[in-house]
Amino acid sequence: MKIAFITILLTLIYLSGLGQMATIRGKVYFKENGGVSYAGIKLIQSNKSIIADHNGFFVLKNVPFGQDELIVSSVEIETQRIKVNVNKLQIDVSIVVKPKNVDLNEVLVIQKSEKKEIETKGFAVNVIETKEVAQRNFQTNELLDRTVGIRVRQNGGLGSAVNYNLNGMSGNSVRVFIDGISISTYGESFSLNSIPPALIERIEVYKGVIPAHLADDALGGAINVILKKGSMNNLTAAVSYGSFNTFQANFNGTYRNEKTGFTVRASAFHNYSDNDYEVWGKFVRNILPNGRYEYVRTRRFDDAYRSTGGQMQVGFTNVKWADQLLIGYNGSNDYKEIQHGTYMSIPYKGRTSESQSNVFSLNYVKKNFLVKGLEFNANGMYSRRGQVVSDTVKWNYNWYGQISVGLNGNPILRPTGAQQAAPTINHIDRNVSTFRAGVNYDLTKNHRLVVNHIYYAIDRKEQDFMRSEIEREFIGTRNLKKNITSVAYELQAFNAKFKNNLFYKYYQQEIDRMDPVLRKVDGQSTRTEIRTQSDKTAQGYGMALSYAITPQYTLLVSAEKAVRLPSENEVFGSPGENIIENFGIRPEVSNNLNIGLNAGTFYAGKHKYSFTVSGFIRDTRDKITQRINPRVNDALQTNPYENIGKNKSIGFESDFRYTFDNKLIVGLNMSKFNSVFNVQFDDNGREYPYYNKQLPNEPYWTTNSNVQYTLKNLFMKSSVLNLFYSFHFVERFYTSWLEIEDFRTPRQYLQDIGLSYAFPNHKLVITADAKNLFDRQAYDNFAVQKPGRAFYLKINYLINNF
Amino acid sequence: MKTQLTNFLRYTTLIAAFTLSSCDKSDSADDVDPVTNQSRWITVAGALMGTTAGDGNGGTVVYSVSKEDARNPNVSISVYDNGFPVKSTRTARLQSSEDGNTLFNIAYSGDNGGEFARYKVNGAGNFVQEEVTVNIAQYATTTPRWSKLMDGDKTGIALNVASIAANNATDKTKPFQYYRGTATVLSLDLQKVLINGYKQYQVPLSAEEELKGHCFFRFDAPLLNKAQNKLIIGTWMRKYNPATGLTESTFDRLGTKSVVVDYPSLENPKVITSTVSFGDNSGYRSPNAFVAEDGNIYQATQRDSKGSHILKINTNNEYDNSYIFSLDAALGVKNAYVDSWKYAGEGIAYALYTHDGTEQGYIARLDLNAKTATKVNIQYDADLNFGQYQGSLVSGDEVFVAVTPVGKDGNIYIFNKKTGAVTKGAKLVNKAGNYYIGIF
Repeated sequence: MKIAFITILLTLIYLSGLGQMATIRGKVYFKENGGVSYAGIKLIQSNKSIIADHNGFFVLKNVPFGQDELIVSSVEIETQRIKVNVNKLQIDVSIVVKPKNVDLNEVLVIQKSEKKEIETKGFAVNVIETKEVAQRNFQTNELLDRTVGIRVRQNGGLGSAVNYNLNGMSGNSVRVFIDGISISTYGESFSLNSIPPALIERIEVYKGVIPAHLADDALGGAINVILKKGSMNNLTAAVSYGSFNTFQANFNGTYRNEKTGFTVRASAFHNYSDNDYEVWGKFVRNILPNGRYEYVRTRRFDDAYRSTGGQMQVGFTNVKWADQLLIGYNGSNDYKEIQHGTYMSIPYKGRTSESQSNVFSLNYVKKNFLVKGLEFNANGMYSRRGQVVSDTVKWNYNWYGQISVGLNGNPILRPTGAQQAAPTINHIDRNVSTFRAGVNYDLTKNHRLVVNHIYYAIDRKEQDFMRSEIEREFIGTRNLKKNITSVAYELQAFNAKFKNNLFYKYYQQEIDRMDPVLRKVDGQSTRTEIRTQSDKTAQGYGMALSYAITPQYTLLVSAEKAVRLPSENEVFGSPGENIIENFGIRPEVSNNLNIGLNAGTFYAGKHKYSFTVSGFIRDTRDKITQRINPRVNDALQTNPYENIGKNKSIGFESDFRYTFDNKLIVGLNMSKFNSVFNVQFDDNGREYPYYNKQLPNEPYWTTNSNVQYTLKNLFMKSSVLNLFYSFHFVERFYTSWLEIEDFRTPRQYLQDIGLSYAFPNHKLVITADAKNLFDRQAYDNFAVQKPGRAFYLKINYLINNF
Repeated sequence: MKTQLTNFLRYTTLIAAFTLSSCDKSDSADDVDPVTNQSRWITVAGALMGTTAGDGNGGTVVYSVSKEDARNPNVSISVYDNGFPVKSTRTARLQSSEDGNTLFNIAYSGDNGGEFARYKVNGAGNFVQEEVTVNIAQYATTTPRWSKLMDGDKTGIALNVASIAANNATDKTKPFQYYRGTATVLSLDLQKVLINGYKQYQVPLSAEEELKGHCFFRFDAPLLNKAQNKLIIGTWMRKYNPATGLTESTFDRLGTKSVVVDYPSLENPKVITSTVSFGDNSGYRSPNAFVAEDGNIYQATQRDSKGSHILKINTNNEYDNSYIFSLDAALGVKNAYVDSWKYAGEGIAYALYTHDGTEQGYIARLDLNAKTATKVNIQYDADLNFGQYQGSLVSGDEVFVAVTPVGKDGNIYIFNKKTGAVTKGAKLVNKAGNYYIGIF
């Protein structure tokens, strides 16, 4: 069996190695009016030609490898000549042409599908393109949640806290980046909660194995958001309004002077929602004065969210001395009312979080820097972030938003002093400096060396104005510095059918602790600062390889020894909670492996389909956990954090996409994994009952599907109407080791519908969406209900080439 | 199949016996000698680990057997395989009715934290939760400390101290005077499953003590005196440094304090202070004070700078400072620390303790009158840890204690208050990371 397989494999390799033939696919279109019908396309060298279809699409098959030139002509357009380097089995080109009567310089853009390019490099990565969904009423987090292998768990409606689960790893194992820079540079107000998909070019989700250029100690995966960087002069704007008084608006514009290369990019967003959706069921109850429950169906009453932000970059692009030199400013702020804690069984009133950030950046990119084949990029950022968490209301509230009254007729005080804990008006200010520099050097056509360094420093200050002035003077500070150097070597062989990426990462972290104490100096009590420092280093390495077995089948394998460095609390403990320090704590380590197959696109008449299948293992060791000391008290110190946990996650996921006649698109994906407790024996050699058992609170099985149908020329000529339907399933799971029904989440079946109508000039697009159509109780987190049925309407306006 | 049948027969017989005996009881309640060894359910509770061995944070499982089975070393009990999971995200806070037929629980943390529920004990893993529940979270947090009073299963008392703050926290023009929190004392009707009433107040210390930064951090382990007119509440002290606002981990402790409030009005809190001991008397997860037959109250201390003591509160609800019972002295150890203890009657008590700052647990027989203590001779193990121990049971002349080292099998041990005899009872089958936390 094995021998037969190898033989077949070798034969395939041999056959495909003979007479390399490529396929060129593409579209000819006007920037303003879309596809150009029936343009003639001719390849000079290989002397092949074809006529594009009604929509401007064409496919050229059996194109020999090598340099070639495409000539595109038609009666209505200026003839275009485009150089093509046929070096891959499949090449996607988009050809923008000018109408004949316009007397302007030619504008020419060649785009190879970035998505396909990234997804076939070997990494287990999903590239989420926002082009279509940006016009609909979707949040960025919703978009991620519908992607295979990602489960986004949000603690309520728009703006509430989010946790990402990638293939069974979550929390601080998953790092989020914006344009390759850690999101902590920007803070809460510029996050996936606030950035609309319209400002995002694409989102890359790396699972388990993370390329060298995304430098951070991400143990389980990385989400990299690439913001839009249009190089054409355009402006898009959108407003949407819908249920729960949700109002959202955004605009995005780019201007570039053709002659000087002077470029201005600007974008802005605004989000608001009352989030006053209805909640009901066993977790929604008022507690009567005598302690009995009264179950109610009511609206959330203190849950509003607002965020506003914008950014602007000014500089030069595509000039001789720089591909990009931009200085930028990014400013944002947000405000969130927090309706409840971990569970919605106790509603809060008056607990809020407000944050803002001001980020200044300088960005330089140059290809062929000093020598040919050397790309240099550098990025410096300085950010001032502020956050205020306020919680001072001392009464208990019921779900009607009224103060709860006790047996004696008096209002009941919160047993913790304020809504969630002790009263607080906590100001947390952070100054974050980030500097990143990278070099990509193409040694030869098939060998590339990548070197990257990132420096990252946070100074953090805290002031709780519910504490006395003296107390505030004695709150310590924690400053964090990280240096991460990564080196990668990329290799292509066998006519780019084989790609390999080997990488190594070196992490260095320094945390400074300053705790003020009172010391007797010459008999006087004096405030003195005690400083301690923790230095940690760690190394990680990995590889990603892909092999195009045939033009349609690509095998992907990637593996990494990933690390997560201990956080300040894990190193220093917490004097307030009597957790003592552990300077010897080691980083968490995870051995991650992905094996996948990327297949397609297959064509059969008007049918097109493609699919991916992959399996993964996450073997996490030295997990940092804290042993509980039952005699926790003020006189004895409690146990520190230690490296004692082990988890393992094994699973698979698949993604299927089908298109019929460019009218019907069906997408289906599913992900299932087993995330298990992986410590086998206790100190006495006895096997743990949890060994190899599913960890509680893991949404281990999700399925998504979506259907899109396109109708053209409905009502108006050259208008486009799209109809959408999507289905989302999450299997129930236990939230505690006690496997009882009360601690189990319900199965989720959620359905959304929507439509978009693009008016004939394609400048105006109107979309309408109905979410959670059947008003089901939706939960991401146990006992936290998400919005029910909701309607949204959105107007998008696009101006090109102003 | 055969064992199932035998079990079935055994339990049906037992239930029948019960039904009959309870009838008897109602006819002539006063005639029943509490010392006789009449049969009853013995409920054993085990704590599941959460993330690390012995943390007890994975939830609680219970299983009940007849008293005969509990005494029988040939019987094996495995709550983890056959037990009933009590609805509580973290370790349940269990108590049982005096006849052992009802289990009371307040869920600790989670979506239902603070929810009081009653379970009918039907033998083995068969527990039936009664439909009516009551939630005290609004008054006493979702992680309440509570205890059942020894008043014939009528009342439970839950306690909380919240928002400890300096008097000048938000107004810097005022001079510092004290750190104080707001205390809640709540009374729960265990029969009607309703909140009887609650009182909230700040309980001050002396002005001098407060200026130094001392305050009450927790109230716990409430006890009803024999006259049933006062509640004696255990306390856990904390000290802030008024010059920095930081809590101090080592400080000169004040004499052990209890708070006495009127019962049933829960009013007029009054602080009483011992001059014998300087520890806390809040206990941890189990009752920490007991009323003896003569109406004197005995209290254990924790975090005592001179090791745990047993203190005496007389029938006037004041400390009897002439009563000095140091466990360090009596046991000949240093830094004795009582995790849990149980008064068996006739001046005899059994204490689960550790010493010298280690984790290992031991059991001692205490004679409160003679002020002597002797380590009980059972099989000890380095992994035996009573830190989260919740309850021992007194039935007749005997005290039932669950003894399992973390992750190792153990036994129910039965101690006779009269003879001091030690009986090794049913085997408690354990699993890695878990341990048994009590008998109810």
